Amino acid sequence: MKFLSLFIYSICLILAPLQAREKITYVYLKDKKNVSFNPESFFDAKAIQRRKKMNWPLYEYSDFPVSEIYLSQLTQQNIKIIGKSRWLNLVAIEASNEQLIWLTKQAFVDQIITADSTCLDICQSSESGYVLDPILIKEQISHLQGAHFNDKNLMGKGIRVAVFDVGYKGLKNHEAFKHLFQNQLIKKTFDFARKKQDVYDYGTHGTNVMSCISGVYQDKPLGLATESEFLLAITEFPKREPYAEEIFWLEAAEWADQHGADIINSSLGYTNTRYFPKDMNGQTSLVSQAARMATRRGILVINAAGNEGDGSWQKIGTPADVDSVLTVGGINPYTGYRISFSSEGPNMKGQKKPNVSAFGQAIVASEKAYESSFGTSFSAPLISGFAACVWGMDTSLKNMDVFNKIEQSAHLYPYFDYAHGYGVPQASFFNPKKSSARDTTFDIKETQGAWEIVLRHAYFDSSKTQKPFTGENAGDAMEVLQDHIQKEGRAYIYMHIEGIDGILREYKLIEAFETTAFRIPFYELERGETLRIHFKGFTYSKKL
Amino acid sequence: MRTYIFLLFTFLCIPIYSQDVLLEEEVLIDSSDLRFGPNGTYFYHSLIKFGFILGDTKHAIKYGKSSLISVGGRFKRKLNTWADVHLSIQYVNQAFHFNQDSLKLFPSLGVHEKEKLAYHQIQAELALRLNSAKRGNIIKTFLDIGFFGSYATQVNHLTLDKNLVSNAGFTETRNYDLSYVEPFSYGPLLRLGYKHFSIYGSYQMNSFFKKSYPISDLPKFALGIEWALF
Repeated sequence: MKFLSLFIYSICLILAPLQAREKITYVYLKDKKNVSFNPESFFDAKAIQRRKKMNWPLYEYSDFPVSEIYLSQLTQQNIKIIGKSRWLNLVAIEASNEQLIWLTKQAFVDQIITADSTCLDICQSSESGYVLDPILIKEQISHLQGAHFNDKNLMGKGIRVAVFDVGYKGLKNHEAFKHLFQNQLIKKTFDFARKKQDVYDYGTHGTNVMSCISGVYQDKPLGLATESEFLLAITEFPKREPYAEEIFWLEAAEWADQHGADIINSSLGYTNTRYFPKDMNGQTSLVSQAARMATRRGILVINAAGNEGDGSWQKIGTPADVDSVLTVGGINPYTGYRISFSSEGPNMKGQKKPNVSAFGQAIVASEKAYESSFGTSFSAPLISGFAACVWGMDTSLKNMDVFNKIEQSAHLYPYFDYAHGYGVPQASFFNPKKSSARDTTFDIKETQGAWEIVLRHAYFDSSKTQKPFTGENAGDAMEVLQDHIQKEGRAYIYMHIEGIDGILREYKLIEAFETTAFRIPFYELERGETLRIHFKGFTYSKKL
Repeated sequence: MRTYIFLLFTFLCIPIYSQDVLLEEEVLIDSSDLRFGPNGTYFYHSLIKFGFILGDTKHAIKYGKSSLISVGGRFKRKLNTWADVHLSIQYVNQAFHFNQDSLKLFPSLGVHEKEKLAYHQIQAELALRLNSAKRGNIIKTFLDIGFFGSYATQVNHLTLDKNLVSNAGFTETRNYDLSYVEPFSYGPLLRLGYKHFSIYGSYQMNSFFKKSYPISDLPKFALGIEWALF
């Protein structure tokens, strides 16, 4: 029976990964018994200021801490506490079946939800090792028209940005962040995964992300908010995805709120290892609830759309699925449209996602040097830097005012699709001298049962109409650079059909090689649907 | 003139573009079937399986070389958060290789360079899957308990012999329509897997040969790995 022994041995090998399994339980408490709360001492002055601006009461019940009496009752039962949330009045625990039975009998427990939490390998969000492309370094800022902010000395001063990530290895001694330490702009740090203050270890993803908000390379900015203040939090474990990370995100959001954050940058997302596509509705996941609570308190939450666009999941993850979270998709710097891995919207309620886009490939600070990296992880911080500059112009704005203005500033606005959102935000939008009128760049003619889209000659450069370079492999540097320069002249026509319910039924991006670009047969549009076409700043809209 | 005609023809064959669709999505089609997926209500995928023949027999079986390879598809229907039912249809190629010595009686009396019995089967499997992944649209660790039934569409007895008389190398002989072979087979199976891979074991309950032929049975266990392609 040797084969039987072999079979049993093989079974043991397969079961081995399960040994790393945790059973996380969320215990929602009924009340906050005997809790005292002094907001003046608890909150940072900036947090109080933000609350006043939002007309959010200082003595809000959900801001009161979790009852120590209940926590001590849990610890008396040897229940391991993983994290807690004052906003949701929740304690995350690891408990045995006997302890769970005990909990069900307690009067202070409102609801118990057990989450299956198997540790899994995390997908690699970025690749690195490419030669630093000098044009990419420049374009990283200029594709957002960052010079408009720099000219007005707008560098996010006075805006506090909380960054949630896996680790900030190398950040402390990196030349890209020297200015942050010289000017004491890193205000607080905390590692929620390990419950300690030191965050400068465990992974370089946070360092990469930070460089896209406020990094500097040879005196050139890699991000727009070089004068913002920062709160750095670790909410992730490297190379695995336990459920506890969502608790850490929630705890970090409460911590960011307490310490006066204006913006949360989260280049994180959770998808198929925990959820089904139907759960991407902005409500189901714990982290989406946390993001909503943060936005209600006046924090602008900016989240990466995700890198699942060319995988089986395809759609955005959570908390990018929350309607009030500014979800950022990725643009290919060399083609000017969606980079293949950038996750697409909408969320499962049909709400518009992503909201805007930025480069999905960026020059970032690594542990000791700089590198070129891919991922929407870098699109989000580029927009966080942009948002800090917008908010720095007028600090009386509320978070959703900034959210809306960033959407309106995007290069495709009012056109929208689920690959690009409203497009790439443009700093020139915030120039009061700039005319808001948009020139008509194309005409629509009705001919033989179809609409014919004819581009105006003034906006169509026939010398730049060769077939596009995909740019994904970036193999030949010269070809890439040449292509990059030519990208600007290309005739990209965006088109969508919006259903009666406001959800897009179809969208396309077409590159035209002639002024008579294409035809849309009348039968493609049903009654009540809206056709929108965008070409070089002008959007045509027709409702049938 | 021929050159000009060729060039003209080539030119006419080159497609002329006035536009290029760089990106196109039909949203409703993409997001309509939310119940489909590895851990969804419905799922189907193809699979490849390889296994070794194991178990006791009186025949001089070459263990290690006697094996089976299978390709097919599997349809899944979720019953609840921890259980699914799976139906698979597969083509199975099962081969029993025999050691050659003068004492052997089966499949033939003579000694050959090589000798094997090759089964070409269509197999159906029905299994209950106990699934550890309660949440998320992924398959994690699972245990399948099931039953298979096969029908051998063809069984060949193949021998390879050296040509001693001429210099023609080897002669391969294929005997088919073997009257002693039982075409139907069935038995239980067990699979333990993690994500795309699993280790499976199966046991054939009935005999490989018809009752009217007093041939001792071939080994009935199979142990191998399966790769679910999705």
